[in-house]
Amino acid sequence: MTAVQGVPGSVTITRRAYEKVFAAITADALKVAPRLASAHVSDAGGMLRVAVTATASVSASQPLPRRLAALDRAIHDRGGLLTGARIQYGGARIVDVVVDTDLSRVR
Amino acid sequence: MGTRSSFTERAARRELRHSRSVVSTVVALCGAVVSSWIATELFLSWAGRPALVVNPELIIQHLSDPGPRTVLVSAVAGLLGLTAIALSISAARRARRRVGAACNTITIADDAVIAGALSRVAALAAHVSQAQVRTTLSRRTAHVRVTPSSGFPVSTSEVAAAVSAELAQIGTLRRVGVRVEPARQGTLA
Repeated sequence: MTAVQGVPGSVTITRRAYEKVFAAITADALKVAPRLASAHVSDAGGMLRVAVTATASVSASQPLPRRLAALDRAIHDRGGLLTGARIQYGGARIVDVVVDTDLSRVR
Repeated sequence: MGTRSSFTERAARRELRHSRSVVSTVVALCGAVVSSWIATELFLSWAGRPALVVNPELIIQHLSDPGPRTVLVSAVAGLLGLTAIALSISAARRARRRVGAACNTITIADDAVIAGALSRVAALAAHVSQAQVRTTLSRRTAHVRVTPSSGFPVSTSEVAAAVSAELAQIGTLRRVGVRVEPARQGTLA
C-alpha cells in the first residue's frame, strides 16, 4: 500500500493485481495467450519477488533461450515501470511449448 | 497568579504520577496492627497472662540467638522494608506527558495518543498504511518500526525527519529522540 504525501486518501495494490500484471507481461514476452501464463508474487527482503509459470511460443528465429531472456528483461523493465516496485525475478517455469505454426491457435 | 500556578502544577503532577494513597493506607494499617499486637503482648506479659501469639521474651530470646526461622522472618521483613522504600522514592510515572507551550494552562497527553499521531505521520512519510507502522514511546525515545510494502524501500531519514517535526509541533517538554527501524521483510496487501 502506498500513500502520496499531500494527496488525500491512499492507494492499495493487492497481490492479485501484481500477479495479473506480471502474468500479462509474461504472456506478452513469451508470445502466448494471457490465459497460458500465471505469476506468483511474494516478499523477498523488502523486494517484490516474481515467479512465473507459462507456456512458451518458439520459432526458428526466436528459440526458447531467447524468449526466456526477453521474459527476464520484460519482468524487470516493464514490470518495474508498471508497478514502480523493486523487483527480484524468481524464475520461470515453462510447462509447455508451442511452435510458431500453432500461433494461430493460441492467439 | 503564583497560587494558581502552584495549583496547576500540583494538578499536573497528580495527572502525571500515580497516587500513593492505597500503598500508604496499606502500610499504615499494617503498622497499626503490628504496633497494637506488640502493645497487647507486652501488656499481657506484664499482667502475667498467656500470650496471644508469642511471648515478647521469647521474641527477644530468638533475636539474640537467631535460628533458621528467625533469619527467614527477618529476611521477609527486610524485603518488605526495601519494597516500601522503593515505592516511596520511585517516580510512579504514568504513560502521559506535558505537551504544548501554553503559559497559563497545562496540557497533558497520553503517550498512546502521541504515539498514534507519530505513527500517522510516519506512515505518510514512508508511503505505507498506518497498520504497517508501530510506534513505542518511552521517556526519551520514540521508537518507530515500519514494515515496508514489498518492492518499495522505506527512507528512514525521511521518516525520522517527519516524526521529529511532528514531535516539535506537539511540543513535548522533555526532548524526545527518534529511532526509525524498517522491518527486514516487507508486506503485500
